[in-house]
Amino acid sequence: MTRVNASPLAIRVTALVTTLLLGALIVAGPTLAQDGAEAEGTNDLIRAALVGLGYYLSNSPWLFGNGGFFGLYRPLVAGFFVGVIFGDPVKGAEIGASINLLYIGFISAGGSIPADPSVAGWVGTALAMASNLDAATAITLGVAIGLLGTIIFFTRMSVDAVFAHWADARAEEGDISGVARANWLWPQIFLFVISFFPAAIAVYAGSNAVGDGIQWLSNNAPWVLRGFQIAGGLLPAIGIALNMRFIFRGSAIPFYFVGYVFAMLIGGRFFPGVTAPAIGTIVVTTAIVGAAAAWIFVSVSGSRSSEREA
Amino acid sequence: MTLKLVRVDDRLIHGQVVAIWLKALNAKRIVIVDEATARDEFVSEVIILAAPPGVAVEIHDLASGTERVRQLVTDPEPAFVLMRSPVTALRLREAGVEFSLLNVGGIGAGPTRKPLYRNISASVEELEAMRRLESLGTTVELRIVENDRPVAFKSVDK
Amino acid sequence: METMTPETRPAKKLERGDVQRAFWLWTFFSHANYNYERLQGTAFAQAMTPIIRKLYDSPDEIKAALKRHLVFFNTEPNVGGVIHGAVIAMEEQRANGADIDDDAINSVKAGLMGPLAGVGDSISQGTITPILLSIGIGIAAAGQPLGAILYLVLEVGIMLALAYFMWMQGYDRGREGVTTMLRSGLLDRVLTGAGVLGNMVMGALTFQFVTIYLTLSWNIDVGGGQTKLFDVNQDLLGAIMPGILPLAFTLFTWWLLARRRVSPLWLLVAYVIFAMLAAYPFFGPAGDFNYCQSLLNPFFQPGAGCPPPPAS
Repeated sequence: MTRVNASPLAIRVTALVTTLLLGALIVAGPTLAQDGAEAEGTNDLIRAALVGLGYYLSNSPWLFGNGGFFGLYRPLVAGFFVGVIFGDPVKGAEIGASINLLYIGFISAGGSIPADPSVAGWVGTALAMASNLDAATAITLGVAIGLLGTIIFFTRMSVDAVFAHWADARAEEGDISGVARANWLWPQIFLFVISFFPAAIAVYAGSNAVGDGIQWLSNNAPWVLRGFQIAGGLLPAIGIALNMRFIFRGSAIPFYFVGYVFAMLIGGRFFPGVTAPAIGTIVVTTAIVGAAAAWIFVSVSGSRSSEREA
Repeated sequence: MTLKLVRVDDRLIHGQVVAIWLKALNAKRIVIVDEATARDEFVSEVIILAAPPGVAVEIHDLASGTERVRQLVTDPEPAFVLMRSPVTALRLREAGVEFSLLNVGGIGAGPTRKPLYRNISASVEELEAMRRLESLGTTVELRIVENDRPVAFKSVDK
Repeated sequence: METMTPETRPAKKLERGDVQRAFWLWTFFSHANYNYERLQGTAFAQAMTPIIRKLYDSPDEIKAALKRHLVFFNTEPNVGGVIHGAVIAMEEQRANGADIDDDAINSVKAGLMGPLAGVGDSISQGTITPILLSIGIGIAAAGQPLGAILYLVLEVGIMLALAYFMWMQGYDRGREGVTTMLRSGLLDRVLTGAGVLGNMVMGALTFQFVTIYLTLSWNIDVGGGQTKLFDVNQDLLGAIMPGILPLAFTLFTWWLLARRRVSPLWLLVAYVIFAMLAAYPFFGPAGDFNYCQSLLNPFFQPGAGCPPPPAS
């Protein structure tokens, strides 16, 4: 009986890809750390390429599947890595976090997505960092990009059906590895092409465009920039409200207010003269208290009531 | 019009799709009309156990389903009707249940089905059923979730 | 339940390792070829390849098995893994002669994928992810990139653990395991608790990120020739409740989206336009009305007031 190897090729390629990625990062690191004018041009190219690669990976299977869709796909994580690429992970994570506010309620349902948070995170953060925007202004930019990105998703969903037919043909021959390859290899090559290049080009060419645009605005209509910053304070309400659509109901409603007041009391922003604890701890603290409240609530009230009929 | 949504989706209640529709159209009851499901105790139980909170779910075969849907048309409580195939929808319509819009949200590809539009495939029988519904005055539209743009069946039927 | 026919060939047994290999293939490649026609169909087939290699020898059986598992399939990939586990168990029984036909296997897949997508999505996309994201965002936006790493590690770790647990439950307990789990009521309790926790976290996020300060203030006469700076934020709204404006604004936004069903896209555009208008320096120098040039100001500190008009 021949030794059973379960799709060994797929596993080997995964290992290869991971090694290549690490290698790319190791090589890119010193190159990016170079100073000097000639280095700048190459640096921009390398950075754009890395962002494109990151965007591809966010939709790819290589990071344990979940590391893509629940990981790099999210602007919070994307922003951090873009920050690393641009040499300022703090700023990158801040910008990514702000853009992610709009997508907290993002849900992919039934093969349809309302916007593309990944492109907003990767390309949006990259453009924001290249033009030195602050986190609040970056939100509007990220959102605009996120709306455009759905076209890549729709393309992939349509074209991948071709590979399903290839799989059928391989199945007719009883070719087990062939069926596997029709699932993981060919579609990923296609996905790489339609993800990497648009994203990398958008970052490389777009940085200048965005930078020039911002420059023009600050010379001619500085209030527009102010407007973006104000928008950065208003748009999070949309992201939060979009998530609330699913959970702000029934007996959970009062807890929204409890959370707000609690955060306000420990945050101190509205009380002049009060020294507040670090802002970054507010949500975590509220979450811990919230978990305790949830436990108590469920123990006391039992499970949710829902009508069931046969 | 208390029949808020008459929908064909071969995965019935799945993911957030139905949750989004329920929220959008404010319905509290889902009536599933499907012979195979009604006969399978296990699947029926799973569907009911896994249903979204606050929504009553009923599973009927074609005969009792037709009766129930007829009742619902005059009942003030807003409800959805859910089926796996446009053929069932046609049977309902032929039995006299009037609805002006049929939403087709998803039909998976299979051995007898050819791709129609995005995630909707249809067999010859199903295409015929949709055409017949159109001729009886029911508009057939293709749309997965409420915030997608609806696509008229007529425009993709070649 | 299923009767075993008399053995005429050696028993086919799956090792735990085979089931695990299938798990990893699914975990990695569930969406590698996501397409409108089959959704996760081809990935289901790839996940079954180690099982097929182990259980079936003849080309006919292999062909039939591959085709059987290339059909349309879609579910939440982590929680839905219970289906794959159950199907693997059924294939193992079938390969050993049990009377399980294609219909039986298909009906388990077709019947369960929908409901488990619903349950799975409400757990993974609806509960775990938004809560962890909120925590990560709260930390990272304040200047600590650790927030992003923390989110990544916790989220992926939890998803993988959940996925593995469900997969093995499916294999060990079969389809009855699914109903047992659903009947236990644990799901209901988890989702209720998640609603409470989620709302509190949303409240905290609202506080940290929704920034809206009105720059309306003017001098009022308090008698004795003195004037006091009356600042709308501090003295009017703040007298009702400090921080009431962001709360009210977010609830208003929720109402527009949830009750009035305004499209999020339109709302985005409307808010950006509103922000632009609110930034425009409408208020030039004026008499009693202190000016801060525009309606809203992102950096305005409560209690600081607006600078008084320049002495003319």
